[in-house]
Amino acid sequence: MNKPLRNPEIVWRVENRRQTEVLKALETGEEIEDSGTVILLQSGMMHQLNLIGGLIWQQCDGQQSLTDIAGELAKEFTVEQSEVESDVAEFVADLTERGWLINE
Amino acid sequence: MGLDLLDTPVRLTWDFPDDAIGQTGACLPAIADRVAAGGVFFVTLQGRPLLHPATEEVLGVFDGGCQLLITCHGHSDELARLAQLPQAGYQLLLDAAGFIDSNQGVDTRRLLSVVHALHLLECKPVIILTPLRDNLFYIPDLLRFCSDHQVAKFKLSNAHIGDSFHDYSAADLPRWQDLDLFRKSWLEFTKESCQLPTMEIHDLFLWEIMMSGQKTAGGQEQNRSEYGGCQAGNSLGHIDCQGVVHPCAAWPQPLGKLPDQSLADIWAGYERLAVREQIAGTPGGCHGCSDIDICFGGCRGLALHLNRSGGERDLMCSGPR
Repeated sequence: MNKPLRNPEIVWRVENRRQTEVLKALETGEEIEDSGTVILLQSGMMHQLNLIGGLIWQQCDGQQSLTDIAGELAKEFTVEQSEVESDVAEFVADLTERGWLINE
Repeated sequence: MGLDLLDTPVRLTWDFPDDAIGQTGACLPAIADRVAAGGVFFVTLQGRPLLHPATEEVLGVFDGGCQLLITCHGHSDELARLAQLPQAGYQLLLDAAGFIDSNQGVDTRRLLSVVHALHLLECKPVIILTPLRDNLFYIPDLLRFCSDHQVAKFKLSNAHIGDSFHDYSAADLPRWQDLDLFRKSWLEFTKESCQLPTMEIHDLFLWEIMMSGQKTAGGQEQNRSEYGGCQAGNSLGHIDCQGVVHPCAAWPQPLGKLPDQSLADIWAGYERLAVREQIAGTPGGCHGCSDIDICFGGCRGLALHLNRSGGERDLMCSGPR
């Protein structure tokens, strides 16, 4: 998959208020792994993505490659791109297998 | 409180004005902004939205995770406009009502020509119908059409009352006697080996007839165990041509006005909470019914406005069981 695209069948939204809270928690060093910031609705089921997953999801517009997405994420969290590349690839592969992302 | 803190995914219907009623639609993108900011998951544009000049701008506002559904009646001017719009970002609902004559039945030839025209525009429509006494018995014909022409989804929507485009009276809507007859014809239909499309049925009583015993794509029996009663003002809402928000298309009571107010403020307002409180009570005509914990009174908006003499019992219910 070069440029992942969100499955248009999936309805989703960013939980802005929660995202702000999670970003604040991140600044104070709190654990944020299990805090959802993006809600997805698929076949009547609601799913949540955490902050990192949600940011990756928002980048999956069919225009950006995995490298581009990893670059954006690295910039956002001020880390080396190489540190996040494998995480991005793994996450995208998981969502592709679920049918939430499609090949573009 | 904001909508983003609610667990319920909200669906809004929006009666989109058209030039025919002389509205320029200058505030439509502002209304759309308010809806998008509210975190609504599904927005259905009703009326003749394809003919409005602001439609493209509104499409741009919903260019996120919200699913936009646009109603079309298959008229040539609508198809011409559709050809000018972006192909992605919305789902088209083809209203079959205009293809049904209560005496002649479904005009499948004309319906097919519209479906073909939509396919040429790379658009795969969902066929929708508001079930009325006049058209209820043509539902199997529409399902045969879906099966024969690879229409993947069929939707029976709820009836609108008290708005600019529809004003169905109790005489237009199916009653329990109609449902008894429909049940028999449905049983006959199910003996055919017709490949049914995915069906979305708003009304609980119709759902019971048409979906009970059906299997999901995963082979599981359909159930509506998550049904918690009338969703007006909870996961359902309606915006009329003037931007006034109502609990549901079948409940003509103003809760607030867009874009003057935010959707979150309207949803947190007293008027909506009062509607939910009203829904939490049992309608007078349902007292003593052993099935009240199954149907929760059914469609409360229609019952409240069109069946006061029946103790605000659902129009499709024959009485307490």
